[in-house]
Amino acid sequence: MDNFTINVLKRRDAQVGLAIILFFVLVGTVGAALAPYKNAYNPSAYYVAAPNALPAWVKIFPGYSKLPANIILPATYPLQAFKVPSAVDYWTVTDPGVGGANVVSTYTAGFGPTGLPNPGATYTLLNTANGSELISIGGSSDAPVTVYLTHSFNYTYEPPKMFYAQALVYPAQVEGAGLAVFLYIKSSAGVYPVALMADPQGEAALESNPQLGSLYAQYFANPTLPPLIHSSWNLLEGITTASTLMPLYYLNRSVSVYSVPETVFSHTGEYTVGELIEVFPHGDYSVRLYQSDIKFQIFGSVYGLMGTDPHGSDVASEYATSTGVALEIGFGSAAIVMVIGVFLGLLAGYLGGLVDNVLLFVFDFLLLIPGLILLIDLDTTFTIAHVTPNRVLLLIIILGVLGWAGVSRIVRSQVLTVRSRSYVQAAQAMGGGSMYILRRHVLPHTAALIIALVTYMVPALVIADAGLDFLSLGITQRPTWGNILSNLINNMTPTNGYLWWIFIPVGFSIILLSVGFYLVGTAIQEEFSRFT
Amino acid sequence: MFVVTVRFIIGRLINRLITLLMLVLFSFLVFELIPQSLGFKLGFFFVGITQLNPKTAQAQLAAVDAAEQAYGLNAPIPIRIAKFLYNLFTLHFGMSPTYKEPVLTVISQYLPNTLVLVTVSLVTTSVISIVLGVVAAKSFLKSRWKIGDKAASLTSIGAYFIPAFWLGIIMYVVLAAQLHWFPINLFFALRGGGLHNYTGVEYYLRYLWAASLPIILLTIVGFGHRQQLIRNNIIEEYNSAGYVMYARARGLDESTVFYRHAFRNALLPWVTQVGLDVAFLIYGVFFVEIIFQFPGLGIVTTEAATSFDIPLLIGSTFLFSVYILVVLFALDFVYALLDPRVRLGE
Repeated sequence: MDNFTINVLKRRDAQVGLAIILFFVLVGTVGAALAPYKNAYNPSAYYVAAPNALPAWVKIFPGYSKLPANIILPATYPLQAFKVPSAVDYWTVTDPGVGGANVVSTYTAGFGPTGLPNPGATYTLLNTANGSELISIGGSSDAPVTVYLTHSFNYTYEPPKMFYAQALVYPAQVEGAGLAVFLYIKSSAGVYPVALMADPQGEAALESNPQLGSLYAQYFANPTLPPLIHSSWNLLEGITTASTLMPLYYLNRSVSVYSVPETVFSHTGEYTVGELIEVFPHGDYSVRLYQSDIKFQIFGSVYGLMGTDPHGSDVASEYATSTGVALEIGFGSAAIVMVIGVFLGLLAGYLGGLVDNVLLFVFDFLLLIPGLILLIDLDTTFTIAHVTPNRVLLLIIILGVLGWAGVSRIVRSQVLTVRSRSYVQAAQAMGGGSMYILRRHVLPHTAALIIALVTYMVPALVIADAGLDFLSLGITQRPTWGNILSNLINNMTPTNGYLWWIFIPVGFSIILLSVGFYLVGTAIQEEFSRFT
Repeated sequence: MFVVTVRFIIGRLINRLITLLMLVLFSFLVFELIPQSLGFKLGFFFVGITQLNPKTAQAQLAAVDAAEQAYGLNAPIPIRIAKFLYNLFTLHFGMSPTYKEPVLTVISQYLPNTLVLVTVSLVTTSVISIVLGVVAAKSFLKSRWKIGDKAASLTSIGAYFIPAFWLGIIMYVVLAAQLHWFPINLFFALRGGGLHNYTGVEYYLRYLWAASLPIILLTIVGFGHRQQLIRNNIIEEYNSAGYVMYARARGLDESTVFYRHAFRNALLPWVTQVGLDVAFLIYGVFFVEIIFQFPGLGIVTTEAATSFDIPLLIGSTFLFSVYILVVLFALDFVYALLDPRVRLGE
């Protein structure tokens, strides 16, 4: 038997097939373990980059080299969430010096956001723990005092599809003044306010602005925008997918609501993102404002190894985890198929007579009636009866229970030929029991064939599962090859390149997996026929 | 001779009927015995609820109990089996809880579409597999470079490996959704998006237009297996069968030897394979109907499964099986015609 294995392994087709299988096993185990998002269909994994982002490696092609990757400012979590004192230095505080203002910015380690609701979206950073920046502004004036916190960076890409800006502010003390806080992006083309919050006094002050007052009034009339509340953490945010909630939509009438990211980042060059704190004092004033979780994100139009799907989820994670599921189901149910199929095939072939006839009828039944219908039936009843909440296990069982007929049939016919051999008859004549002969003579001579058969079965079972998922009857709410494909139907359009970076890898994986197992199975079978 | 053929046919008929009976028993096992033995109340199936609503649980449970009473679901198992059998064979499938209509009415609306797809593609796959199989075998046996064989075999093996739903998405998105060479769904083809009401010849032409893409897909994924089978069989028969040698020794010309002897014998396993391929086509029809939005029994069955509409599921399972067994029985006739051994009772 060792000799046989070596002969098989020496064949070129078996090597290619094994290499393909090994590739998928690696993707399904190591890749799935390394995947950053274990379930990319969970909304918490959405928007890792812009929806329909291309794979990052397309940037090597000339036409795509200017596509932006994810740009997050500040880049690291400790800086965003003000976990380290240097987070304060990231932002340059500019005091215009109006009205003798005295601006002090200090790092506060012991005070941070609390009592915030869960983030509505994945790009929102809500860190409810200590660490914030305290800005104190004091003085005496009647003219508005504006304080800027800015950070400049160089943008060298094509316009992005999406960007997001957020900050958490806590007005601890506002005495003798009204307060408004803006988030804005500035370039040589202009200043674009992307988020705005004001307390009632600040709102009144903005609305009394001679030029823009009526526009501010329209902005604040929007009931979905909450006012700035004192002594409480306020989330100040703007996202271009809801650009009608951005102040620029009201104030910069030239910006089309459909092309906010394209307008704001229309050219390459130096950009400034920042926060604008506007104080409207009347006489002596003192403002103390804590802030934390400041984050600007330009969503990449390219992302990772395989881009993103229409939800902005990481396709590489989807692919790796779904390959893992596919192999789990393929190998798991193939094991069940092998056990049942071999056992009943041996039984039918060796015992013959009535047992053989009945079993043959069962084999035919399972082969002739479309397996998919039986699968759907069993799947439905097991789902209703809550047999197991683990859908993967359920599918392994169902596929295994329904898939063995082909194996049984061939094992049976093989047993019939082996049984007539003289050494089996000799063993029988010497008083060998049925079980002994089956184990000692019949099984070793059918083992290779059985392995070849099961090899053929694995891709068939994987495809059967993919089909069930595709019909949304199999595994739900997590990525599998079938789910990925069924989600594509309504999302493939020329504008997103037919999502080729999802469509091609998944389709070719199914084909390649079939080919790989086919090559190995054929190699085993051919060597086996030469062997006997 | 005639008697022998009749006996063969009757034997097959009995065999097919037993298969159908087994399927009904399988349905009974799956939809009545297994849920019940797992502690699930069958009445839920007939009322059409799967999860109790806490507010109206009392009323729902009463309805479930009433349904169990009305349908006799707590009767002894033999009586229930007999009733189950009687209901199916007299086409009394009951009411579909989701459609609020008798199951038979629902199925008879959608069954014709599926039958058209499966039957037509069964014919097209058969023709293509025979033609390409003969071309490949001839090329393998006669031509030096075997280009015809390589091309035909590569096509059919390739087509066999491509998953139907993957290829279907490509065809739908490119040919129907973007290029508009084909309608985006059956309703659009027949009613022009609700603007037209086509009748007469135009209706059937437009129906064919909508059905062509699904049929093409089913044909592409369905013919490969049988093409390879008939190719290999012809080559084997032609090269090694004794009667081929004998025919050649008698001085028959090559095309007679090829078609009347080798080809005809190679056709027998092919006929057996058709039976298995019907099951495969029905497998494919589920995907094809969903991808091309061609409303047939496949879509109805899938929806019945997702909405736990058990009476509808039982009905469609039964009718799919009847269809397959009718095709298989028709093939038994073909087999008897082709194989003189059957007629002569050997």
